[in-house]
Amino acid sequence: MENILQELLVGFYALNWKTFLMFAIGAVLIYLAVKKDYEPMLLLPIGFGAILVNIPLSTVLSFEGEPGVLKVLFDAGIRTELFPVLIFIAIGAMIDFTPLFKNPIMIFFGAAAQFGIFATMLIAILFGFDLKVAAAIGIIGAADGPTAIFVGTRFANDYIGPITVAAYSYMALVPIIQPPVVRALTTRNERLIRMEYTEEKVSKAVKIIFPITVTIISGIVAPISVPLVGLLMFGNLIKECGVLERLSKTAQNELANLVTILLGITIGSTMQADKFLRVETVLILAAGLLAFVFDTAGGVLFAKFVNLFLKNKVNPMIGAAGISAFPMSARVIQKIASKEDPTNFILMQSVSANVSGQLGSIVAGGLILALVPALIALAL
Amino acid sequence: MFNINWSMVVENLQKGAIVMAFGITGVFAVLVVFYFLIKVLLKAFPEAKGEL
Repeated sequence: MENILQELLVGFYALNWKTFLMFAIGAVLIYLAVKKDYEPMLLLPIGFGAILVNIPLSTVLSFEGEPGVLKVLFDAGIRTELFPVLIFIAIGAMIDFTPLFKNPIMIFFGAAAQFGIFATMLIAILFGFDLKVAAAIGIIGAADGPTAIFVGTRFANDYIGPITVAAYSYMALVPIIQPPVVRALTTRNERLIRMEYTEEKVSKAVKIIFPITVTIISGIVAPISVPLVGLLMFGNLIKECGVLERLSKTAQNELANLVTILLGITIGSTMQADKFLRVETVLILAAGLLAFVFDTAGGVLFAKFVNLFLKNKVNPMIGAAGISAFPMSARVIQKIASKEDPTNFILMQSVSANVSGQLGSIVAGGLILALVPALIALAL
Repeated sequence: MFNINWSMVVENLQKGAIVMAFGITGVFAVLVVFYFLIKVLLKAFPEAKGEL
């Protein structure tokens, strides 16, 4: 009788404080998605996945020795890197490089704003993480969810949950994180700098040749980055070629939506209490925040440095838009500029820097993937 | 986690600093190439000529 009761109430017996804390964390993520509109497409599935996986016995992961549905999805989509790579096709089909072609000089801000990735990696090492895990934590600073998942899967499988949650949460918090950093590093006069914008037309040939050439160059520089850069550029080529409108729309909508649903809930499934409720999670969340701060600072300081040599100064706030969070960061910078001077319009330059950030982040991701294993193999 | 092996941390920091130096230089170098690529493409295919 007692055995039957135990069997029937097995779910209740398995409950503990960690279960309830994880339910609360899942609920907070869902709240942020629904009420605050913070990256709802990802945070809601992740939050619900976190609840699912912490229900006693975690039958979504395994049941009676057989892998559960979320374990199957994880092995098929995350461990194989299929989901982030498919998302890259969708993102590629959504990116419009035209603002960058019109203002190519802005590409350098997309490089400077990757500083946070590397600075955070060093901080994560100081926290006691090994080089691979530290690099995966640093990549939160790419402000690019799929790149964070891609690198995290390769270098820090055990921490993929907190890394992804940090990446998407801080991307959503860009309007809160960036303005104080920008204000702290610039004077009012610098924030008032106006920038000229010349409208140049870009031919279709440029838009078609660019993704193909970028793929080849990136592949030669860092062959390991080809799944990242190549599929992003493939998506972009589908969009720009002009003869695959149906495929382009499918990539932008159906593919993006389908994979996002599966990606989010599968990432949520990595948030088991035993794996998530540990000091390392807090450290990863703290490091992730620092990554965004360093990215912003790197971009702004680089712009100030460039201004030392320029006759026509750039508004240093543009540097902060060099992160990959598109188009949020560009909008934030325009908003700060408008606050200082409602007639100052630097949105187009910010968008150019922001698009460059999308390129810069995947290049940085590819370089991290190539450099870290090489350095680990090297005995200093 | 809290039993930090400091000699390991120092070694990782050294390697991390190298990754940082090569990483930042690498990102700039690749984007410089992309910058010139854009410039060349814009020159080679101005709007009128570039319509396929």
